[in-house]
Amino acid sequence: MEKTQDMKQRLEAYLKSKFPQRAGLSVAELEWMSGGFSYETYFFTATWEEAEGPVSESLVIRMQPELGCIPPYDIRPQYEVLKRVHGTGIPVPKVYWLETDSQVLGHPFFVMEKIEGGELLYDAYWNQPEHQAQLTKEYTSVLAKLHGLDWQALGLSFLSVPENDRQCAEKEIAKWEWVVEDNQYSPQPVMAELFSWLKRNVPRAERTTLCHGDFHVRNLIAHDSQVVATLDWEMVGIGDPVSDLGWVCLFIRWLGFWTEADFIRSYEEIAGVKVNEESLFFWVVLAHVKLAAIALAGLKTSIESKTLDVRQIMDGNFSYMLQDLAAQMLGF
Amino acid sequence: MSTPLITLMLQRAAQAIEQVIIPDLTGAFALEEAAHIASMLRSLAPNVEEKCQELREENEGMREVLGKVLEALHGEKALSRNAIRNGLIAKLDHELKKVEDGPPNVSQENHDLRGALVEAIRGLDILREDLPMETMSSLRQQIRSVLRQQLDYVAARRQAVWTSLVFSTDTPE
Repeated sequence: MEKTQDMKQRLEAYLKSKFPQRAGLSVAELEWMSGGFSYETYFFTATWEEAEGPVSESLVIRMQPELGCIPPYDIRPQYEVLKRVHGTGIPVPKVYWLETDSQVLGHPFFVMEKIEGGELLYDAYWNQPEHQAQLTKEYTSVLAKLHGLDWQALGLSFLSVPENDRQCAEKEIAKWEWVVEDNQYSPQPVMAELFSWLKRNVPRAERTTLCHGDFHVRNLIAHDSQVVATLDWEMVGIGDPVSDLGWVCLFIRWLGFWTEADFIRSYEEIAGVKVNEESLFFWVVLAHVKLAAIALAGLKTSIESKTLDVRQIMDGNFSYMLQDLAAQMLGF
Repeated sequence: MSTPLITLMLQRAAQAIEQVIIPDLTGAFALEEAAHIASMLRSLAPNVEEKCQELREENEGMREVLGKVLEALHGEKALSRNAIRNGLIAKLDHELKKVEDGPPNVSQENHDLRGALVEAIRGLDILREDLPMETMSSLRQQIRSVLRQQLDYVAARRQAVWTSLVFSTDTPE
């Protein structure tokens, strides 16, 4: 409460100086939607006076976190990607501006439109059984379209671009191995063995595309049977599109919606490509390892940040559960 | 070494009782009970893992497999000038001798052996072209079986936690 109250005052002062022509500008309904160890999201309503009367706009702030579990954080790539992807047919919120001055709200942030109505695709899937088939098709279709974008023409080469077809996987392995190394509370021999397998089985990427990095059903908003927004672009990059498929498969297994075979079949039909089975297997294993690494990072941050939410310390168990599933995939 | 996870969990639980739950309690008896539970958790925290039989078995499994890795590396005389092999031998020798000397406690021993196992996995990866395929394959299989044992113990503990949560919310009216 204290945090949002202080932020409301600072935000109001900032908006007044940014839009001096908007008379009587005020901020209301500032709500902290997500917090913790990743980018933070706030909803708010800005109201001001125009000649025709009062005007209100619902907006969203996406901000670098105070306590991140996988630093370093940089809000700029998300903003730049959203700006460039908007208008390509991928449903994303329109971004308005980026503020890099940490003095304003404590950390750099950007402001984007609020998608009104709709619900998380995962909830829509269960709440609207009559739309399930269309929703899963939409879900796959957005991903296939995203992978089909000409990222070079869109000016996305500022994202780290792999130098060869093995580097897509090698860079991911290196990144998540570093996260484990940096966040382990005790040595992690199972993770060491999983990384050993991954390094010995690096696939060659058949395509290099824009990859969302976290394309799971809780990061999309659906309205009726349509996907209206794709959110949480913090792991966006240029890489092997099968990495996104592996991540989706992990969540299909975990959340029990749809089936992996139907998802892959649907993706192949829409994208017009054949997904390499060995490559998919590799990326599903890596997806488990990646989420296990994130959970270890969450655990360490939770311990070090002295949070008293004991539920977060259970992330350690979650990590072991994922390590166990990956180990079973590899036959041990 | 870092504090064992289970110790941290108990300490955090005690802290949550003291700082989150107790301030919201009003009844004198409830307050006293909660304070006693917090105090009990605090006293259990540093000791509970040392008494864990599973941890001893886990350590035993790791000692055994690390011994086999050491034996295999010693047997590779052709690699006697290989710095990676020699470094790994020194590391494993050190860890296993430390254990023979009597480690300070089971948790510390577990932490150190896990660290040595990570080193062994990484070292064998680097040496995989130099070691006979059969040796590599056999060592990897044995390492994986120790890892499976560890995962099964964790799964059993997780199951116990979930079972207790399910039962605690399933109280008849």
